[in-house]
Amino acid sequence: MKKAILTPDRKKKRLLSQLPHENAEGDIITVFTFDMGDDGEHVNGAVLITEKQILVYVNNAETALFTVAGCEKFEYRQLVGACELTAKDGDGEHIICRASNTYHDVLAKNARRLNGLKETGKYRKDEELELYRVCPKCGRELKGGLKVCVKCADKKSMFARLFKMALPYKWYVIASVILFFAGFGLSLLGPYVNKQLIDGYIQNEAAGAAVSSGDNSVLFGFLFTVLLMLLLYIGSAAINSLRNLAVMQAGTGLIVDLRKLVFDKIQKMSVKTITRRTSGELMRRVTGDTSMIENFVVGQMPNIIQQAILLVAVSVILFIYDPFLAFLILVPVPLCLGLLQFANAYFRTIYARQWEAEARSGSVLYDIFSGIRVVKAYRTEKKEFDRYDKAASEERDIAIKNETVFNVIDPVIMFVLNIGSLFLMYYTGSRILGRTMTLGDAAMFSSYVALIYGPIDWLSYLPRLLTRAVTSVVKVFDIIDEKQDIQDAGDAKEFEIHGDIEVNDLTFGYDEGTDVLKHVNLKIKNGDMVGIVGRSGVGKSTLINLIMRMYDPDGGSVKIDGVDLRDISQQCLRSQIGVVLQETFLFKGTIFDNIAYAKPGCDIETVIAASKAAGAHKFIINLPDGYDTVIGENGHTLSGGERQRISIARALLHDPKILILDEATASLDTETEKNIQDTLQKLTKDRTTIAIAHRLSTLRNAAFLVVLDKGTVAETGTHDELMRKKGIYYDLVMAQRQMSKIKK
Amino acid sequence: MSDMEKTNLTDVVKTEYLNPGNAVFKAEKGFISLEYTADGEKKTYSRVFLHRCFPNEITDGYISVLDSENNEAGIIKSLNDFPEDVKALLETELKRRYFVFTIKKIRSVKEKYGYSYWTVDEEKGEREFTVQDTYRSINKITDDRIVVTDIDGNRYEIPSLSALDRKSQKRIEIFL
Repeated sequence: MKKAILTPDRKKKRLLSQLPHENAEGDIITVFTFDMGDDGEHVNGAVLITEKQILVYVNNAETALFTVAGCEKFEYRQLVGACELTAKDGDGEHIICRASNTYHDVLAKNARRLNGLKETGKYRKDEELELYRVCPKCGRELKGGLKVCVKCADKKSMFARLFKMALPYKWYVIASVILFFAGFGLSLLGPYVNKQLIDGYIQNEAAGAAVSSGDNSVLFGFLFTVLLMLLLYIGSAAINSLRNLAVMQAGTGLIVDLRKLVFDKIQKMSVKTITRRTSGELMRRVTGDTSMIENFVVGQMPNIIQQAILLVAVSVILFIYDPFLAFLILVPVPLCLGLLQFANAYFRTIYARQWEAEARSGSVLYDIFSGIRVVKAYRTEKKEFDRYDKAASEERDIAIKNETVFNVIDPVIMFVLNIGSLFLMYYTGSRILGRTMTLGDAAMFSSYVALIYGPIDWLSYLPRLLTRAVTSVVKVFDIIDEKQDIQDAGDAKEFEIHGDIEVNDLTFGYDEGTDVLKHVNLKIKNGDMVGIVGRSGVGKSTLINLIMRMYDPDGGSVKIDGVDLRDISQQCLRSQIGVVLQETFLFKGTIFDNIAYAKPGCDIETVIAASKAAGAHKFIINLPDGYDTVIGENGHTLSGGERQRISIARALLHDPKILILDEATASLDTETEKNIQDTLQKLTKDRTTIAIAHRLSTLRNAAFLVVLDKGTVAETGTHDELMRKKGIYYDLVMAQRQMSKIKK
Repeated sequence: MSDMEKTNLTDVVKTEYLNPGNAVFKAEKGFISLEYTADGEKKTYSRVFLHRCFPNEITDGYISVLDSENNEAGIIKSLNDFPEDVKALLETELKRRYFVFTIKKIRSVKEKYGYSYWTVDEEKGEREFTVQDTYRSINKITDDRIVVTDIDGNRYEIPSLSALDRKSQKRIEIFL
């Protein structure tokens, strides 16, 4: 039955026709459904938004009416299993609608849209497709929360693209095909020569008599046939290894290309996209999934083709030779295939379970080892041992169960196949005894039977192999096809940054509907040192993330030297911004390499100067290996403060026009911090510095301070101005003074 | 250290616990308001949010009551302390926040390319949903009670696996 395709327009029209909206004022902007009533039970609700009004319907009857002008603000709130859209006015908060999470993006987008409408009088008419949850390609309704229609995920084109990627290796592919047919011919020839050997010489009484009477020509003929056999073996072995070599060349080359493509793509992704996936997942895409494809292309694909052709060819030969015999041989085949199909469905699930169990016990181990200091400190070794023991036992139990099942099913399949051979043996035996068949014919048949049963046994694994390979191909292309959300504009500018930063009406949220920054305005002049302060979670780090363009704003803009960040090439921008984060990251390598990371090939004197400026030189030269000390994973352990100083040195060496310090000196004592601060001040005269710090003394050199509160700029000014104001900053300073008094 | 000097953590860190004696909850404009009296001082919250401290383990107690600024007004130790009508009111609010579908029967689970497609019977009838990374989206609260989270963040609870019919059990078994 062909289902009518529900396009956004049709869906909208159908909804509208059901809702009484004759009295609605203003142009209709959108209409959407929701599914939860005030009592938390399921309802059929709808919301109609016009330029002036918001009408709420339950079961097609109007239940509430809001005017856009009468509301101050619209809010989307994500709850646990549900979400809500509310309106605020002078009278407090009012519920517009509640819904299950299926509607989270619909509600969130409309909250944003309504706020935009309220503030600017304009509204965005885009994203209609997503709001109506229909496939952008075919217009079918997206079921179960999918973002792409399953029917439109084109699998054929995946393989076509894989094939396209194999083009540079076409000569290897052609060679492997030729070699493949050559090897194939030889393997069919084998049983025939064997038959000649038996019927012509071994089982031939005339030949036997000739040899015993001293007829050398027969003996030579015999030897020649044996030799031919040998040549066949050598030939097919040689051809097979040559073919494997060619396939390997093409396959591994292809996979390396694919891997590079995936890795390159991941590096280009925005932080938003990357943090959405775990690093484990990304690793699996780059290594695991590509290996799976490699394994399939190199290891399985040639076999699949070979075995399939072999199966057909041998069957044809057998039927030509003796149809009845061929029929006997092939009788158990469907039975076997059926059995295998059944077993496969079962195996697939039990092996998946085994894989999960292995992963679980692995992650328990990882967990314990990375927290070994805590384990030892609280003397919980026994508890952790038990935890691992439990996971390992679970893994063992599943493995034993799987092996048991496998070992029961496999002999059964072998048995069924052997029934076929039994038929064959009985039939050929009786015909040999009845002298209607030679022993050579029988031997040839046996060989062909072996040739046929081999592929059958093997082909049974095919569905599973295919599923796994296709899954990996889809996952890999999924990454490659991912839309880059932060992209250079076609005419992205490259220029030397002067250092004026302008933040205009900046609004941003990591998740739909919850804005971390709201309408932030900020102007920083070249050469200024600006301190950003505020309580935890007010959006300080988010603001600098946006200045570095780790994310693109949802509203407003960030401009450097009057140019929107989105119009500056990322390379140009990042090469002139230096950043030191509280969470330092050091790569595996020497301290020297780590400092010189952003400026390879830099001379030693500069590196030493940078580390001196960062207050790192002193501790470095006191290490036994000095600048050659290997740090990072498995390397020398540095303290938190030491790590921070190396990162500062790295940033200073980078010589950026804009320096960003996000709690960069938090792990240092105040004395060391002061020294670094003083050096920094000398160095940062002609560069813009933005510093975030909780310890307010860190910012004493700042030209002015920006106090963030609840995602907006609450106060700006110099330390003295803000102290006089007695606002948030004053409270923070007083609280810290209080703290230091207690400490004393 | 003598017993006299010994201080308890709970003495140092004061937590306000709400009970019918000090807290009045009311339904207002589809939300819940609170009037809380402590030390003779009355505070009024026009809208409060209820957050379970232990959403999985304790559903009817240890409920943190927050104002719209996310500050805690207090904790409800047990819903049963309150009269039936207030209890029902609070339960409705909790239901709206911790909305969950209860799975009665699993009709089918199909796995494809890293997603699994489920068709289940919940209280309101048949429902289809999609789960990404199936194994990790299934939370085993106990050996018998599980919660599945779908791609949108909707939650589906199976209160008792053993109470499901045999076929449904088999369909979900492979993911546990």
